[in-house]
Amino acid sequence: MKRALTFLAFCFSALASGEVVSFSREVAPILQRQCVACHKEGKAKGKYRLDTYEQLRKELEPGDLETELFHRVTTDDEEERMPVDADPLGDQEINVIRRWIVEGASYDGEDPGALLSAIIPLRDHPGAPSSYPRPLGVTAMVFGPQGQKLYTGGYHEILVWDPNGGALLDRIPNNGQRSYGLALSPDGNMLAAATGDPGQAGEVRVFDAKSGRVLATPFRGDDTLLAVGFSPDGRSLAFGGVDGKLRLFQTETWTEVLAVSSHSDWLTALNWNREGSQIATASRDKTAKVYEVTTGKRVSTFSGHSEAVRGIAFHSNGKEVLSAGDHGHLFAWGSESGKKIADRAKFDNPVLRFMEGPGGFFATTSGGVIAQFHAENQKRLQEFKVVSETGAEAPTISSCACWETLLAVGTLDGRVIIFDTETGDQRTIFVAKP
Amino acid sequence: MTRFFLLVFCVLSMAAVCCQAGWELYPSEFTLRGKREALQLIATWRDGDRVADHTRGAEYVVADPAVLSVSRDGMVRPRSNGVTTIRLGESTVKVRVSGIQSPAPVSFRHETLPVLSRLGCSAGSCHGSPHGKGSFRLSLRAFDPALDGLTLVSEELGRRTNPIEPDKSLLLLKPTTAVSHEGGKKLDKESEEYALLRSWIAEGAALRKGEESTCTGIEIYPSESRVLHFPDANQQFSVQAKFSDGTRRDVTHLAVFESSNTKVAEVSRQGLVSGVERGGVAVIARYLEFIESTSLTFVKKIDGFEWADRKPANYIDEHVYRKLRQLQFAPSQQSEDLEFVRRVYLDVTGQLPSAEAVGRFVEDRDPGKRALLIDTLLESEDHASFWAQKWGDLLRVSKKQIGHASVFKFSRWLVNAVSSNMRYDEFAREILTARGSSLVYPAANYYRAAGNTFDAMETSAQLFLGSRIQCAKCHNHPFERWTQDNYYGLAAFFNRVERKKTGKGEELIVYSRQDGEVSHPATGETMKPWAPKAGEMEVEQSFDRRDVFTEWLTGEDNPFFAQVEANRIWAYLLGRGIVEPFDDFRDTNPPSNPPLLKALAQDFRQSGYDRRHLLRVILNSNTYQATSETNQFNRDDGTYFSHYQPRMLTAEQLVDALGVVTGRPMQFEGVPPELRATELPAPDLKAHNRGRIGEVEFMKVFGQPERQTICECERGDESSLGQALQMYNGQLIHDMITAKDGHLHQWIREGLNEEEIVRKLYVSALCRPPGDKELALHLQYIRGAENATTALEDTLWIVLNKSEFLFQH
Repeated sequence: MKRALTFLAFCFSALASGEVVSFSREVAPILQRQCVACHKEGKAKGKYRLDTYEQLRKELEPGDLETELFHRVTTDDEEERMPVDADPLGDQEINVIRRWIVEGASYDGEDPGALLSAIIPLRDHPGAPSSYPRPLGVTAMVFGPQGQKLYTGGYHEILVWDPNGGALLDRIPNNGQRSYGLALSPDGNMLAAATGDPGQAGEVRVFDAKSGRVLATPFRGDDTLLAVGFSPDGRSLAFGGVDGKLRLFQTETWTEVLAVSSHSDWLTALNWNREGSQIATASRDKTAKVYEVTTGKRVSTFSGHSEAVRGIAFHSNGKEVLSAGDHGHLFAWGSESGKKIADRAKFDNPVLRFMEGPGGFFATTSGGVIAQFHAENQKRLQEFKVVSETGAEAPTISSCACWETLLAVGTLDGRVIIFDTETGDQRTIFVAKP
Repeated sequence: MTRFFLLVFCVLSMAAVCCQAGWELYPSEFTLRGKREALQLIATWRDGDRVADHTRGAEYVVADPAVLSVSRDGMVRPRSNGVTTIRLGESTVKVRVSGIQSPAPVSFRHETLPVLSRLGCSAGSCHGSPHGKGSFRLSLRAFDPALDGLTLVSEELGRRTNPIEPDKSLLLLKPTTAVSHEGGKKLDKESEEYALLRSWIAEGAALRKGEESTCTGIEIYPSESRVLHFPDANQQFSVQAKFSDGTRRDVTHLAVFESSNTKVAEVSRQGLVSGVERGGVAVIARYLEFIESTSLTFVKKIDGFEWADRKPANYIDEHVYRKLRQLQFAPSQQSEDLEFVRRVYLDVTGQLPSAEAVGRFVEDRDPGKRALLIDTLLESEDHASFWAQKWGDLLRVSKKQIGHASVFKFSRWLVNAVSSNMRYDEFAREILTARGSSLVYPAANYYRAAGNTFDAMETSAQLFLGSRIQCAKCHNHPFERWTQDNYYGLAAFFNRVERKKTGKGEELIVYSRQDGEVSHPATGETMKPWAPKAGEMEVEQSFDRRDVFTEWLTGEDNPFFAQVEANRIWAYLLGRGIVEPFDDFRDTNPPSNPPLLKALAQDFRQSGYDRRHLLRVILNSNTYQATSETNQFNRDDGTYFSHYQPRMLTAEQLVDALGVVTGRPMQFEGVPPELRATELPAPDLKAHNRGRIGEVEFMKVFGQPERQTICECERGDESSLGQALQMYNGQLIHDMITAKDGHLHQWIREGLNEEEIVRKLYVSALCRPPGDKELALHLQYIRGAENATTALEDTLWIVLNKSEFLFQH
């Protein structure tokens, strides 16, 4: 009865205002929040998929409230009601859906096949707290032009630090909750962030590196993005994340050029070759792969890692790929063949980040170790160690970046440490917390 | 409100009648350290033997309310430092509050992880499964805190906790379904559990390894078993944990509670048990790796029930009747002679009694004739082979496991053990400490089937300790006290057994080395031999550790050995163990009648582990001899032995019975021609022959085990469509019915009339003459048929398809 009254009230208010329910603004967020986790591509419980309008439309008729779908969310029978084992939808949510169906179940987006998460209107992210109550893990970083700035992922923002001394220079707001990858375009003008709210949303945001203005949000998904990288010519941006897909956008118009799904689990890292013709990807599915950029064709798959792969980089010769991950091995393998060439190193702890810098390759572990390898033969050159503040276990190194002889690493306990690779000295250490 | 008045009324009326009646508060004193601690009171009204829990709704009086508060559900929370008393009637609790101003950070180990267990996150069906769920894996019930710490705090770059806005942590968003969660809603935003997890995250998700005192054990209250009377069928439980620094904390709000049988009683997350139906349950409380349990019995007044005294035949009946009387079930009457004779033959020998035997027994006027028959049957060869077969099942006596020749040797050894009534401790010793050549000592084949350390230990534990300990190999056992340490400690007894094939036929030499240690897979520590209650044992280097184990096993005060075998024998005879399943002894699976099991075990021990004695005592009890017909007051009972529980014949019993009734016994390959199904040394002796698959199938369809595992459950006791099809129109039944050399055709040739034949069929298959109506119907059918022979075959088919034939009752 109460429900019916509320419904009437809604109808009247709708009539009075003359507003029609918007699918993208009002219905899609409800479905995304309540249904999509179990009814999406790859996990279509009960063979239902509700992750795009196109899929949803198969389950209903405009104006018809007798459909299975509507019955399932409104019934009082707990055995049947959706979402399963959870609180039922609120009256307000049901009314939005009911009105939308009655009004014709129309679509107000462009592509009916687009994921709901991509058509829900872009929102401004909440502001970051002026001062953080606790340190936040530093999960992404990149040096700015000429090494004058160090960008790190903050909370709903990107923080800009002075690498000499660690002063906070600037804060770039309006970003996803956490950032897992940051990349600077070769001309130094654009800063791209692989970001998201864990378990809820993900975005690739591109900022003007100087002004901090949002230039584009080329992609949105339903979980975090983890890796991002510009092509050497700066004309393409590649990224991937929890959905396991590798996507390629061109940076002039921000249109999608390529979307390849061949990893069966998170895409954790990616790297372009020197020519910009191939991309290597690492995944939690225990494999690493190489793709042809122009065709999206897979060139090779390396399956020698018995656990999640976390970091990947091309050798300068373009023929070898180096990758490392949870089991601690650093493997070199053929980019064409996918065959193992050598087991270059073995760490006691998982390797979470792997990159190339001017001084060679760098691998960082969850045990506080950063190892530097020779660019040509991957001989181990030197090792840096980060210890915990309290003397407890060494912190996880969760990000790293290079500029000439500067090596910056971020830890999960919220610190940034900058080393000089030439002298082996520690130059700066600070807590990356406004 | 009503409850409150009832309570007051109850209190007043009881106080007036009985002077010893009064309140009991638990605990008598307690110290609350810090602002976040709490104490669960338990308020018991005790009147003589009778107790009732009134923790909820009792009128607690606090002397100094500035120090603490008590909620209506008996939860004490501190307010300021000081000492005060809580009073209920004459009973008091002295509570000291200290450290109220000190910071009280959440302990990851002692609070966060227990809460995740309590919410079910780390259960085996959710994130505690070996691969977790949704790429989020916790150790099963938090047995690996270090790993769980990594998973929650650092895995995937800390995505599960949010130090800036704790409420936005995935760890909280998922179980509250603010972000859709496949596991459903597990956590309420308003709950204490939520507040605790949130505080832990807000405080920085600290793991504080090695900075805290460790928990050394828990105590559950009430710890003594209680009888609760409907409608006062509630019981609040409390759990307190003891720590290495000497402190004690109430962890009722952190413990996990379970009921062993939710049909009898349910238990809430808060530890409040509510009776549903009369009967017994174990209530289990778990905190960290510690488990304690208490058994509760729920009693209900049944309308019209009056206990009619009857004379117990022996101690068994005394215990069974006591339980039945308490639960208000009325035992069934004694079985008639015809019912009894069929039953006791099938149970003791596996065979149907012959028509002559039935006739002789019924006509016998001796009042002691049942006891005499029991003695005779227990001495018979049929008994030895039928009961040896049960052990053959358990010891995996099959060609595949131990080899063709060994099957014959080992099963003959088992038959001899039964027919000579070998002492059970001797029997266990012969098997467990077998050494030498399997040709000379067939029991050595035990170690052929149990071909490695872990198999030998698991097999021995299941057979002789009634424990399914396998789970503890990889993690602490989820339902039991068994820990991983225990598993490898027990394994140390069996690690030095060597098995050497000589190449002489199937000969296997079993011996014990003087070295070889078991190391713990997680710690790498060398495990000393360990046994329950006895603890770690020092064994001299030159000793065979198996001797030490067997000595412990068969020792006077071993709590498992006699009970497990007594329960097994009971289950074979009554169709259900006092502990059921009968090879699954654990706290969470309590006996339905503990004093009965105890008495049987004691009798068994005192008789010198005389199995035939125990069989005799059970067979002579009224409980065994009760009819399978139920009455109005025991119809619902399937647990407390108020009546005999009908059960289907085993595959072997059925095949032999079919052979006897039709006169066309099944022939088995690879054994002497006259051998019956209940004498088969192994189920897999027959050479593979595509053409004759049907016959083997028949036994399999009816549950004959392949003897590949030691679990009794390998013998199927479920009825199936396949069985119905076999009985209705299977080849075997068809051949048996139509056999020209079978009894039926013999009788037809001899010129017996229809009535004589029907009578003979009834007596041989059902051990009783047909009733007048039955007889009339059969005769009408046969005489109205075109072909009398076919009609008689049909009649035989009908008799064989009666449940009365297919069941033992």
